[in-house]
Amino acid sequence: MKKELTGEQIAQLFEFTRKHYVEFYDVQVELVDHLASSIETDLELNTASNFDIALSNVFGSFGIFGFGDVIEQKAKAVWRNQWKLWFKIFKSQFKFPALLSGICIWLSLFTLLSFFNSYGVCLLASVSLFILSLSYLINEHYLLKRTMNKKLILINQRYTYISFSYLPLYLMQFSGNWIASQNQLLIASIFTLLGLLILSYRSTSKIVFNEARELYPEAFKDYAVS
Amino acid sequence: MKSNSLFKGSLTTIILTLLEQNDKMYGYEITQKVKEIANDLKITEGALYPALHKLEGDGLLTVSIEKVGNRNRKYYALTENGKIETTNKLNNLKDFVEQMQLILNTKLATT
Repeated sequence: MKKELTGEQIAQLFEFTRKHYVEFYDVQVELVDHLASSIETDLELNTASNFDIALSNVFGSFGIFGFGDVIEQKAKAVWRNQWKLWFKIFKSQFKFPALLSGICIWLSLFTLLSFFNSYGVCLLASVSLFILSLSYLINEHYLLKRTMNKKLILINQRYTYISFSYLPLYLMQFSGNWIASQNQLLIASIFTLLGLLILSYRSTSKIVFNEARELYPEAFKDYAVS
Repeated sequence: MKSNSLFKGSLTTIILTLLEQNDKMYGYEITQKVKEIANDLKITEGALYPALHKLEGDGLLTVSIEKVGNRNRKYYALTENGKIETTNKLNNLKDFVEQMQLILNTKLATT
């Protein structure tokens, strides 16, 4: 009969993954289950075997790079999934009733451009969007610090979007002809799209955090309380 | 002699087909089944998990977590897109095999 590993042995497996550079809890969970399942089968089929030998055997089956490939591919998968989600939410902004907020932003910008110098309006819009995206990122960072006690690859990939917060300023830096052209339609449309992209980022974050909380409640500080 | 590269190229199709036959499966279960199907081939867990994660990243698989004994288990299942993709991949594979048979038979007939 298959003998289940003890809680202490499971803890040992978590420690083993950490020692092999797996710092993310969501990756550890999957690997620990794999290692444990394999060890249990090995111990059942081979009575001469023991926990350490079985662990060494199953780790060997991951190849010369150990868990390296698993982490790398997982990070890519998470990154791709989250980009797709962001784009999906961004696209949904062009359907009613969400489209109304886009129309409001566009009309406000167009009105401002009709009364004021386009360069000044662009600067104001860029700085506002930069502050908005930065505030989301800072808020997100403190939320993670406050609520989480374990690192998740699902969440950690969010940090790769930091570079995105500079996009409004890049737009100004490479403003060139499009601002000087005084084309109000073009300028209002570009900043509206950027604004919607940043708003979609926030919605994406909320979905990602809720999904992480649902899948891995143990990674959150309030898990023991609830 | 079986060719490793041919089987490795079909690894994602094998995984998708397994998940089509079973509602949901966990990593270890999939790796053992794949090894069983593609026996005596040196496909390691180091290749299987990245393939699983790639399929997840492509939106073909969805995941859920269940408590099993004293540990958590991550299950994979096909998404709607995954089901469509499985059918497409299997059809492509069948077409490929038929074409290869046709080419080889023609060649043998002319020699």
